[in-house]
Parts: sequence; structure tokens; C-alpha cells
Amino acid sequence: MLRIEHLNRTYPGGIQALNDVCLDIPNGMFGLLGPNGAGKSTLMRTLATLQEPDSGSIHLDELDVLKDPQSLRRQLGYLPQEFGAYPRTSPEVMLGHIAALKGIPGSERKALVEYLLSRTNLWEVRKQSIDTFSGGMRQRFGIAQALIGNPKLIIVDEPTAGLDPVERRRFQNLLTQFSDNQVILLSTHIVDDVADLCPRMAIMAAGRVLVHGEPEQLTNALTGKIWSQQINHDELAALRSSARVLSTRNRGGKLEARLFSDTAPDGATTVSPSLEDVYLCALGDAGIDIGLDQ
Amino acid sequence: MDALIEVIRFECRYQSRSPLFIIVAGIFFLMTFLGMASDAVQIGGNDSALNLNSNFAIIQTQLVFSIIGMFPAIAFVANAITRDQEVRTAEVLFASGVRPKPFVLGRFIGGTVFAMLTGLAALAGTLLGTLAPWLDQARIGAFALSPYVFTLLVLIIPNTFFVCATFFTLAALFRSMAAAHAAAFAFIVAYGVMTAFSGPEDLWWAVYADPFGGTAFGEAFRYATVYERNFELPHVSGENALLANRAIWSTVGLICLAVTTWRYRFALSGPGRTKQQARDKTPHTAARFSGGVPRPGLIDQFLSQLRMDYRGVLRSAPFYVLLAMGMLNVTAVIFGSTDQPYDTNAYPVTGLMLRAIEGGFLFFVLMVVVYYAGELVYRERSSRVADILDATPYANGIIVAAKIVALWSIIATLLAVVMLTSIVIQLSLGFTEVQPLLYLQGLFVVNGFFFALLAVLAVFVTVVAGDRWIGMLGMILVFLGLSAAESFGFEHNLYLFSTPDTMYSDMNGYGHFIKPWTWFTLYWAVFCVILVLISHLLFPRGRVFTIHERLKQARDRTTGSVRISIGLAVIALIATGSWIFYNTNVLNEYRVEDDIESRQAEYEKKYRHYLGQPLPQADSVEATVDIYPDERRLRSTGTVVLRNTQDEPINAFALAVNPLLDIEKLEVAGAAITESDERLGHYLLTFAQPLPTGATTIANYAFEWRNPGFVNSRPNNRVVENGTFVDSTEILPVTGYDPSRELQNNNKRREHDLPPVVRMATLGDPDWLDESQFGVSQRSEFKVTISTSPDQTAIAPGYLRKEWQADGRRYFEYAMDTPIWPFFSFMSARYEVSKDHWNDVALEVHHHPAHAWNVDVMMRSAKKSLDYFSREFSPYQYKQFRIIEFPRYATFAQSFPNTIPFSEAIGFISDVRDKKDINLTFYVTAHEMAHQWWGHQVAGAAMQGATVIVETLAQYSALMVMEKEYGTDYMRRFIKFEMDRYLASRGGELIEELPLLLTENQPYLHYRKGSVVMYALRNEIGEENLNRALKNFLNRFAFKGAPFPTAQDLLDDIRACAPAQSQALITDLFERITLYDLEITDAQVAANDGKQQTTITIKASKFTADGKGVETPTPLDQWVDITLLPEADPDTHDNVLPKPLVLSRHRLVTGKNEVRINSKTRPVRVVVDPYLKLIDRNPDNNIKTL
Repeated sequence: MLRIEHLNRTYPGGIQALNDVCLDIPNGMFGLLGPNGAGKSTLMRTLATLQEPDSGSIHLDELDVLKDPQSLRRQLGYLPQEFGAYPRTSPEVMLGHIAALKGIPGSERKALVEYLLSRTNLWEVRKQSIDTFSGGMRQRFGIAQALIGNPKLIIVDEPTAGLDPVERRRFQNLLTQFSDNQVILLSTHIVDDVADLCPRMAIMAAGRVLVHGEPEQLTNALTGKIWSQQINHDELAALRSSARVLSTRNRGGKLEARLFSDTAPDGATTVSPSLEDVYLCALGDAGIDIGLDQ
Repeated sequence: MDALIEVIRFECRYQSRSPLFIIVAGIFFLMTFLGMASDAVQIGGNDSALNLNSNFAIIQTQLVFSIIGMFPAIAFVANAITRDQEVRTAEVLFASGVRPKPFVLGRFIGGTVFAMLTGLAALAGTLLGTLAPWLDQARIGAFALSPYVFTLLVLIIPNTFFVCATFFTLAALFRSMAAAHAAAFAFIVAYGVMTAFSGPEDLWWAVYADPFGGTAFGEAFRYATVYERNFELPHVSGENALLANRAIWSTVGLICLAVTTWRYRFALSGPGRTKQQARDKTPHTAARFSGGVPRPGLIDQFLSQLRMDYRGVLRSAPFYVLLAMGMLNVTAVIFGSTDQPYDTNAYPVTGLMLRAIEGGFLFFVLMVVVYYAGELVYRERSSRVADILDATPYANGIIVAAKIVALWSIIATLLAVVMLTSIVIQLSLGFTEVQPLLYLQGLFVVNGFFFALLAVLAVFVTVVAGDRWIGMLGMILVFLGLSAAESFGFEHNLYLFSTPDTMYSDMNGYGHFIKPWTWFTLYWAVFCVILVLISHLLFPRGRVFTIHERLKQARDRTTGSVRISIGLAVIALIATGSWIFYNTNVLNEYRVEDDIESRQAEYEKKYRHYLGQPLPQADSVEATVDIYPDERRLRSTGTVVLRNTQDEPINAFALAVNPLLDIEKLEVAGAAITESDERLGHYLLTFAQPLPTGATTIANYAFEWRNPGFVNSRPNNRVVENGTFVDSTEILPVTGYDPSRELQNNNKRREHDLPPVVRMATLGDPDWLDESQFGVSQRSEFKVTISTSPDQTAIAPGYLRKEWQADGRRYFEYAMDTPIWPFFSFMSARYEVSKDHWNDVALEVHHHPAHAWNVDVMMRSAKKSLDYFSREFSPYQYKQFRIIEFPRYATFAQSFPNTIPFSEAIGFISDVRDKKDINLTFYVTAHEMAHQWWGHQVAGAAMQGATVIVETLAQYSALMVMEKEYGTDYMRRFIKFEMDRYLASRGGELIEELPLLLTENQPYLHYRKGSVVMYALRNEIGEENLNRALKNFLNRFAFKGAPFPTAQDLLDDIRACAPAQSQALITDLFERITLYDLEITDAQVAANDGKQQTTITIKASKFTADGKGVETPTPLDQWVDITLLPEADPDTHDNVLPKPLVLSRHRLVTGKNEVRINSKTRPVRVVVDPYLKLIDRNPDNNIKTL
């Protein structure tokens, strides 16, 4: 159980990246959804002990993370959003090194590295330089290193960004194999990642946690409030002034607009809510427009 | 075209805003400005008669900046082409529709313009610096714009263009800055290698091969006189290779640029296609692993990080480039170091190799350390693995420790490679007496420890800087700051981050240098412990955004043990520092260069008025010298009988005593010390009753030379553990004021408010005829008892009378049976003695046991010299001749009566196996032997020309012995060296070049020009006539007292033995500065009646020069040798001529001359003045191949 309380962080430029963030994260996969710049990476790095908050506290079970970051690191697996490897270094060597830093005894290191390489399907390229890896291979390497040391807390920051659909699916499959005894925190700006993987989630924007809960529960809460309406392109402005448009989509020369409304707008049909609607609603409630309109 | 202009405009805007340009231009401007306008920053030398704003200095300064400027130039142009990839905008740009050619060209032009602007900033700094009103106006010539325009056009523009074009090409080719940097490294080292290799016997292509034109400029200025260096510019199109050089490298630049522009395609670097590897079998079992929380093993973490870092370096291409360059660099410095005068070589003894390496390698290691400190410290960040690693539970401090040890490993690897290279070179030269342990000690300990400290400093600076490039700049600033501090007179190694210099001598090992080295190394090691701890505290972990956060991290890491460690280190630092300070500043006097100069100046100001006052002369000296080599202590006691040889009574006289001595007793019977200046070593003794003419008195003295503890710098290298060599001016009282202590450099003299050097008495000045050039007017009896430790032999001039042991010490008594000049040497070391004899003269060489190589050459030279000199000049006056080796702290040989101290650095280790080489050992031995005549039999009066009698005649005597031994053709080579050195030294003259006859102790005149003049004279009037003249001269003056002979007396004897038609030449040789320029402009051969007729066109001119080097043409009308040569033996050295087909004399006049010479067979080459009788400013065009 990871407990985050009243976490605040303002960068030197004045940007408030974390604004009173409170979250309780139980074991299992937890999705942190939010647009770019929401403060997800700041939160992730703060949890990974790479930077400190201005105020607030973090506890992993009984452990006060901010007081004793070193103890957290012993139980931490962290896959940063952007990372590289030493030049001309193979995953085999790199994993061995990270294992050494994580305190895996020399006698076990080789077997562990082999296990991780095979588990992440990198066995065949284990001697190849990581520099030459494709995005998917790189992310799989990232997961392999995060798994070293059987961590209690795994933090995975935007792991699917930039992957093609096949690679993304493959990566998601890898994530689902994690055990339930771990807290796995997955940040993403892709709604599907959360929808597909996470039994619990939170939506974050502008440094704040907007909503949190189980995706299904959050989606169900919108039942009967999401509507779809076919309009012409030139009618959009008028529609916006009269209703809350969540998103629009081109469909056969017309626009299909999804609306949020407690009551049925004129000419709209009710549709079943999706997690994306939850996301957009939450952002809209917070006054954030991420421009999903086309 | 529009696109091009647009790209250029964009590039210029970009560069002008980049801090790099502003910083570099600013630094360049400041450096040249201060280099010109202040003493603290020195770019070129200061110790010359050249104007501060001489054309030579302006060009020289800019040349230095051409080389330094390479690195910013790389940043400008290589960055211009690679930065899109680095900042990951390449995709955007490559898709934006700019076409490749304007893109490439525009970026190049923009970058190059800014690189040139930094060069201009340096030039502007120089220009403004010369206008600084506080400069010594005596050294500022009239302002002229021409050297600046010249420098801009001939130097800055072509050099910058070339550098930019080549590095632009490399960067475009490899699409990486690292490649460009590696190339720059390679460049600098190759440049160093080439400069090291190009000696006077140049590789003809060196002037073309230097892309910066430095060698070509050097050649163009080679024989330039002071005047020419001040006010004239090299002719771009003249005979020097300047134009060709500039053209070659600009063309190379153009080609590079053209190829790059033409070939450049937009493409992204980045992941190549992943290779499909053969499918290995997957491990089938998933292993079981420790559950729970692993306990990180500190040592495991450290070793793994170290392995990653060291391995990373070993796998990077630049490292191998560096290694290769290190090897090349070492090869160059080694071959440079075995170079000895006259293009001879020394045996590559390990000590010499070490000195070469440490001399040429420090800068290289410094570059490597600074580069890799930046590379390693920010490696995690630049390769973006920091986030992953920093989230692992490694212990703080592991990384920084691994970085330091990795850097050490790199240095050790480099040193090992260097050592192996050096050993391979030794073996390849057929030298097998390699000393591996000495390599370990010298490279890995004495130098390696300092490099290790340097590495810690570099890591510290890089960590504190918080950025790789700022870190590098920081290190450069640290070293600039330290060297500036040093030049401001802050010389103490306690704050200069340096350890005292060490010097290895085969005889004395590292000797007394080791003790201060050890303490200072310990001191800085402790300091480095503190640096390591601070680096540990400040090493960033995770994302650190503000200084505040860094400091917080540091505070968090300041654990009790860190506190205690820092505390202990500070205590240890204070303790070692105090101990050092006690040794250097309490036990010994701490003196900086300026103190020493100030004292010299003070001595002169206070006591110069005693110069020329009547002095009593030593009738006899009875000395006792006790040498304690282990303690580096020496006691000197004795009695000097002084006689008034003047016409008037002496009331008082001055005594000079080496101020480093402790004076226990200094008494002169009948006189009291009325002035006593222990600090400057001056005493005035005033007689109660004036000492009447002819009367004697007795001086008693007891001095002690102690060397307690150790000093900061300039240790006493005279009294040492094995190889003590002191002379009487150092340990005996010297009568009178000692003018040899005066500052000789007029620039320094002005700084100390002294008038220009007081010149020597003019030739023939009657006031000085009674004083010999050694500062005394009579010879004296000499007897010495000298003792040393029982394992050493102590030697002084004279014959050994007695030898005994007492109180565990070894005693020797030497006495000379005839009076000698009161100037003696005292030596002690563990020697091996080789003995031989010539007639009834005993020959001995006392040498270091490992230095036996050339003892037989010394013996042979001594015998041949004794033969020739005693036959041609006069009999040898002693029954013995000894050569005694001393450590390389000084590199000369010096002739005392029957005793020649001879440095281990020359002669003893000369490799004389190649018979074609000049035999340096043979030559030096003959020269020193000749001083037994020229110096000890006869010495000149203390005035102009005195050294002609002693040194020029010794040179001539040695030349004759060498000619008999090696033949006439061999001599051309020797003389050509002498000529070259004479001509090349004229530009370094400090005061005024004088005709040979009037030379005022100017070595390039009395040795170098002396050889040329005497050899030409011999060729002109014949050996017999010349030797007859010398014999007459000796007959008139040998062993006589005052008045002493002058160079005019010598010349009179020469003229008396020379035929009438030679008199004009003698005037030119001795009494004028005469130079010739003979050039074969054309030579044709035609068969005529079964004979070959060669028609030679010679352009001839003759000049006389004044003391500053301004030359005036004078009419030439002279008989000159011309020779026709057959096909040269391919092995023959250019300077060793084959047997001529025809050698004939022809009369040449100013202007064009046509000469016809017949020969039986067809000649291949024509040489005018083959035996170098004329001083030709350009001897290379005296040869023409038909």
C-alpha cells in the first residue's frame, strides 16, 4: 500500500507540478491518467526518490519514503519515461550492472539476468547494443531492469508512448504478468492503457488529482449522461454554446459530437459512457481543454 | 542563393547568441591583451631584445591562437552540422524543404565567420595590448598596421578556413562531435610530433606539412635578425615555403568543403537496423531468486560501476585514438630527447626516456584527464541512464569513487602503453639495458601519483561545475589561474596544486628530489581526500534543479563519518602542510624568482662601486673540503695567502662569499670586516695598516654548506648524495665584487631600475690589460685536502699526493706543482676508473659504472688531441689528464687544470656507433683538452674578444683533431651546423651582435661563428700558417702574468702569418659582420671535344650588418671555391660531399657571374663554396643538380 499525502512541488520557474496530491494506492496495477504536463512524471520521479517534494509525505506500508529513500530504493523498480543506456552496451551487461547496484549477490546475478532476458523476450538480442534497439525492445529492457530485485513498488512512466499497436499490446501483456503483491503504478496519457490494464486509477491534471477510483465504477457513474449527436461542421460553434461538448469525431462528412448532459439534448441519442468520457469530463470539470476536437 | 543567404543569416544569428562565441572571443581577447600588456600572462617569451610589438611577436601569438582556436572552431562548424541531431530537431529540419547544398554551405560559412571572429578578437587583443601606456616604452616600436593585416590575410583567414573546412567535413561524415574532437586531438599531437621532429637537418617537407604554417613561418624567420624580426614581414612569395604552404592547405580545405557540399544528404543517424542474430536457445528454467529486500554489497556496487566505466572507455574509439596519439607523442618526445647537439643521438637510457616522457607527456595527460573527467562524471546523464541508476539502492559515494578509480585506470593504462612503447623503442635502437623498475618508479609513482591527484581535482571541478563543458572550462581556468599566480611570484607548491619537479640522474637516481616530492605528494593526497569527500557530497543524484537542492542533498549526505573524515583530513592537511612549511620556510629560506632577481639587483646597486678597485691576489690556496654526501653537507676551510701586486698600497678590499654558506670564520690578518652583508654575501675588509705593494697577508675561512630538510623549489643540486660537483666560487671566498651575479637581461634590469648591462671594456682598453678574463691577475699555488664518505672518490685539480682513511672517512690530498688560475673544482661520487696513457701523461676517466660506453672514445680523443696540440702549439703542461663525470643537473663539460668535470648528459651517453654521425664525445673531449692550452696556458685580458682566445681557439683546435680523425668531407657537416646555429641565433641577440674580434662573451659568436671563421681562415691561409701564428701567440703569452693578451694580439699574429691577398678576408671574418648570398641560378653541361663543359650562372652579393641586424650591401670581389661532383652515393648524407671531379677557385663579383669549368666525366651536381668558407644566409641554394 502506497500512501501519498498532500504532496506539493513548485519548480523554480513557478510552475506548480504537484498541487496537494493525495492518493492511496493498494497492491496491483494502478493507472495514472493525465495529459502531458499534468505532473505525472514529477509525481513518478518523486515516488522514485529522484526528486523531493516541497511538502507532503509518502509512505510505502510502514516506510517513510522521504525520510529513508534508500530503503525504498531497495524495494523499487522504476521505468522512467525517457531513458537510455551506456553506449555500446548490451542488455546482458546493463542488467548485470543494475542487478549489482540493486544488491543482487554475484552468484545469482547471471541466472537472474538470463531469466529476465527470456521473460522479456530479449534473449536473442542479449549481446546486442541497446543503442540499436527499437522502441518496443527498449521498453521491454526497461521493464526487465525494473523487475530486478523483486520490488514491492514498480513505477512505470509512460511506457507505451511512441510504440506501435503491436508493440504496445506486447508490452501490456508483459505488464499483466506482474504479481498482485506489488504496487504497480503506471502513468500514461493513453486512456486505453488504463482501460485495458488497471483495476484502479486516478486522473491527474495541472498537478492535481481530479478523480480516482475503479475505471468501471467511474464509467458507470456517467451512465445516462453521455450523448451523441450528428451535426454539420458549421454547427459546432452553436452547439458548444448550448451544450458541453466532450469530443468530436469525423464521420461521413459530418461530425459526431459526444455531449455531457444530465438531460437529453435536442437530437442527441444516449450512448454508453467510455473511460475516455470519464477522462474528458474530469478534465473539463477542472477547466482543462486538451483539444480532442477535430 | 536566397536560401543560402537565409541559412547564413540564421546561422550567424544563432552563433552570435551562443554563449560559446562570446566566451571564447572574450577569453581570446583578454589573453592576448594581457599577454601583451601584463607580465602575468605569457604567450611568447619575454627575454629578448625584440620589441614587445615586433612583427615576429604578433605573428607568433596569433599562431598559438590558431592552434588553440581549433577547439572553438570545431564547436562552431561541427556543431553547426550536428546540432540538429543532438537537439533532435533533425526530422523537422530535414522535412522542411531546405535543400542540402545551401544548407550545408550556409551553415559552414556562418560557423567559419564566427571562428574567424574569435581569431580577430585575439588579434585585436594584441593590438590594443601594444598600446597600453604602462608598457616598457623602450620595447615598443612605432605602430604599424601592416603586421596585423598580414596576420589576418596570411594566418587567420587561411588557418581558420582550413580548420573549419576539415572539421566540418569530419563532423558531416561521421555526424558526431566526438569524431571531430578525436580528430582535433590527433591533430594537436601530430602537430607536436612534427614540430619535435623538424630540426635543423629538416625533413624538407615539414614546412609544407604544417597546416597552420608554423614551421613555414619559423623557417621564414629562421635567420632573421633582431631588426628584421621587429620590423620586417616574411616575403610570402620568396624562397620560403609560406605561399606554397598556405596554398596547399587552403586547397585541402576547399576540396573538403566541396566534397562535403556535394555529397551531403540529409539523413538521420540513430538506431541502425537491428541485426537478426542467430537464435540462441533460451534458458529453459526460470531461476529462483532471493526474495525480500536484497542487501546491497558496497564492494559489488563499486566494482560493477568501475567495470562499466572503465569498460565504457575501453570500448570507445576516442580512447584508442588517444592511445595511438600517446604512443606517437611519446615516440616523438623520445626521439626528440635523444637528440643532442650536431644532430647526434644519445643512448636511450631509461632515465632519459623518463625525462622525455614527463617533459612531453604532462600536457597530454592533462588533456586526457580533463576530457575523461567530464566524460565519466556526466556519463550517466548524457547517456540518460541516470534516472534508472539513481533509483537503485547504490550507496552514495560509490559512483564518484568508481569515476575516480576509472580515471586512474585510464591513466595507468595510458602509462603502461607509454612504457611499453618506450621499451620497444629502446630495444629497436639496439639498446638492451632497459630498467623496468625505474619505469615503474618514474612513470607510475613519481609521475603517476601526481596524475592521480590531477584526476581527483578534475573530477572535483567537474562535479562542482555541474556541467561537463563548464567543468572543462573550469579546469582550464584553474590551470591558467595557477600559472598566472606563479608568474606573479606565488611559487609555493603548498597552494599551486603541484609537487616539486624531480630530475632523474643515472648517477644520483631521484636523489634529493624524492624527499620534497614525497611530502608534497602526501600533502596534496590529503587535500584530494577532502576533494573526494566534497565531490561525494555534491555528486548529483536524481533530478536536482537548484543550488539549494544540491546543498540539501549535500547536507543529507554529511553523515558523522563524512564529518569525521573531513575533520581528520583537514588535521592531516594542516599537519603535513606545517611540516612542509617548517622545512621550506623555516629550515630553509623560501625565495621566489623575483626575490632572487631583486637580490642580484640589490647586490649590484650596493656594491658595484667596488668593481675595479685594487685587489690583493692569491699567491697560494690551501683548502680543506669535507663532503658529507649523505647529509648533503659540505665544510670548506682553508687559508689563502694574498699579495698586493698593485703599484699602490691597498686600504680595503671586497670579498664575495656564496650567500648560501654559513660563515664560521672569515679573517684576514691585519684587516677588520667593516662591511658585512650576509644576505647578499658581501664583505669589506679594511686594513688597519694599508697593505703595501708586494706585501702578503693571510685569509682564513671556515664555511659550511648545509642543506637541512628540503626546499620548495630550486634545490641545491651541487652537493648531492652521489655526484657532488662544486667549484671554488661556491665554497671559497672570492676577492672583489662578483660581476657574474649581475642580472644580464636588460628587460629584467629595467624592471629593477638598473641601467642597461654595463658593457665589457673595449678591446685594447689599457685599464684592463692587467686583469685576466677570469677576474684575477695571477696564477696561484694550490693544495687541497678533500674528504668524503668511504665508498666515494673525491677529486680536485692537481696530483694525488696522499690518500688515507680516518674516522670512517676517506681523505685525498691533491696539489698542483705549478701555479694555476685560482678557480677549482671539487667532486665526489662512486666512480669506476678507466686508465690509459699517452707518452708519459696518465689518462683517467672517472665514470658512473653504467656509463662505460664512450670511455674509449674519450681516451682516443684525448690522445689524438694531445698529439696534435703538443706538436702544433706547445707541450702539454701537466702529467695527467682526467675526465670526471657528474650528474645531469648541469649539462656541460668544463676544463680545470688536468681535470675535466663532464656531465653525464653529454658525451657519456652519446650513441657514437654510427660512423656517419658527428662524434659528440670525441668533439667535446677535444674541445676541453684544447682548453688546457687555450685558457690554462694563455688567457685573454678582461675585455672584448677575450673569449676568442679561449673558446674560438678551442673550437678550432677540436676541429683540426676531428678533421684528422674523420676527414675533410665530414667537416662540412659540422661546419654547416655551426653556421646554421650562428645564423639562427642572431635573432635572439639581447644587446648587439659584434664582429667576432669584439665578442663580449656571446656564445653564438665565440663558439658557432668562431668555428666557421677559423675553418674558413684555415682554408684560406693553410693549417701550417695558422698554427705557426698560434704557436707564436703562445710563445709570446703562455704562462705569463699581466699584461694579458687581447684578441688584437692574436689577430696580429695571424695577420703576420697570412699572405697579403688574404688580409681583406681576415678583416671580413674578424672585424666585420659579413654575410654573403651566393645562388646558382642556372647550370648547364655540354659535351665539347671529348670534355664536359659546365656553364654555371651565379648570382652573388655581399653585405655587412650592424649590431641590430640591418644589412648594407657592399661590393663583392672574391675568390670562391666551386666544385663539380659525380653521382652521389645514395647513402651519403647531403652534408658529406663525395670526392669532387673538379675543385677550382673562381673570382666572383656582385651580381651575375658566369663560370665555365671543364671536366672529364659528366658532373651531376655543382656546389659553390662547398667547404662553407663564406657565411651564406641561404646555404641551400649553393647546390644545383644538373
